[in-house]
Amino acid sequence: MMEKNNKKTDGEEKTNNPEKKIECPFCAIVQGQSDSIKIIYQDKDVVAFLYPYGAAGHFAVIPVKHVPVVVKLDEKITQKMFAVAKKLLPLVCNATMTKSANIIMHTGTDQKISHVSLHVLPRKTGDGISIRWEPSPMDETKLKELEEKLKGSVSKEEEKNIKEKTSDIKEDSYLIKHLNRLP
Amino acid sequence: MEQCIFCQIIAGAIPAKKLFEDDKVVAVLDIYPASPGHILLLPKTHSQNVEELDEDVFSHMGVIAQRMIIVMIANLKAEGVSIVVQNGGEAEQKAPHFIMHLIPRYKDDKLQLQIPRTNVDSKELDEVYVRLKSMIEQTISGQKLR
Repeated sequence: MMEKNNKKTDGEEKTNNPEKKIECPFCAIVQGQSDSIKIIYQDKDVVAFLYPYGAAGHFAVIPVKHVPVVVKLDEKITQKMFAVAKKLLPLVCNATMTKSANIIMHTGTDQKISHVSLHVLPRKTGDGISIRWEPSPMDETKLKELEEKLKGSVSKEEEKNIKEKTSDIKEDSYLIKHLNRLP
Repeated sequence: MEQCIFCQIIAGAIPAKKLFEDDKVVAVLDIYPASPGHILLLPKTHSQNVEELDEDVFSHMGVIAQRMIIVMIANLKAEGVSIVVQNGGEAEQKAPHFIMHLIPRYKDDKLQLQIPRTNVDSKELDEVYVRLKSMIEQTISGQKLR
């Protein structure tokens, strides 16, 4: 059901028509338009619901606001999504009589719906699910190269975020608005 | 924990390619990666699983993961990134320390990290919901479910 809706969403997004309402299946859940979906947590920022695929107890935490990928999400909302997932995980494991779970968020590759979602999937022995990979050793030269590419960038990203946020504040500030009104 | 290899990496007793560190977390390159640029995000305090972790630390890991994903997509020419946690033996957790894996995704990488699209029996789902509903309403304040 969700996948079908999703295909329609993709098609409509491509038309790039601002007049037309985007039919995102997750936005429909947020707005309470999906009767069969069981919501297990809701506040002004995030919603969690039982996901009818994979395993009983599988749930997703999504932002109320339609944000396609996590890189565009307000960090406060990311924080809240993870906090809610952590609160719900032991309760869901209890309700499904499981002791293990995968926590998954796909960005880009394997992301089926263009609305951020954090998944928790309860796991049982012999459930036939396989979320694993074959670790393969990597040589030192290649590792050094990757280290160079990634090191220090997170702190830079942080600086950029802080700058962006402070510039937002400046534009919105009463003082600046007041100054703009002066002849 | 002294004998935990990840605690030793965090303490710097075992050399590792540290990419980021703050008061709560450390990010290192996985030397046995699922794909090039695979990052291990580790809580500094020894915790084996998400249940043992402080909520603050776990949600902070989510934020750091988000920042790292921005950097990974920009600097690795990756098409995406998958956050994967294997929590508990049945989820194939092998490490004694909680790990949030940040796995860069490349075109045709053939990695199988998808949650299967098999339908959950609706009766079973209803039963889980009924059990869950009262637990949630008792545990999380302000949650009144349908």
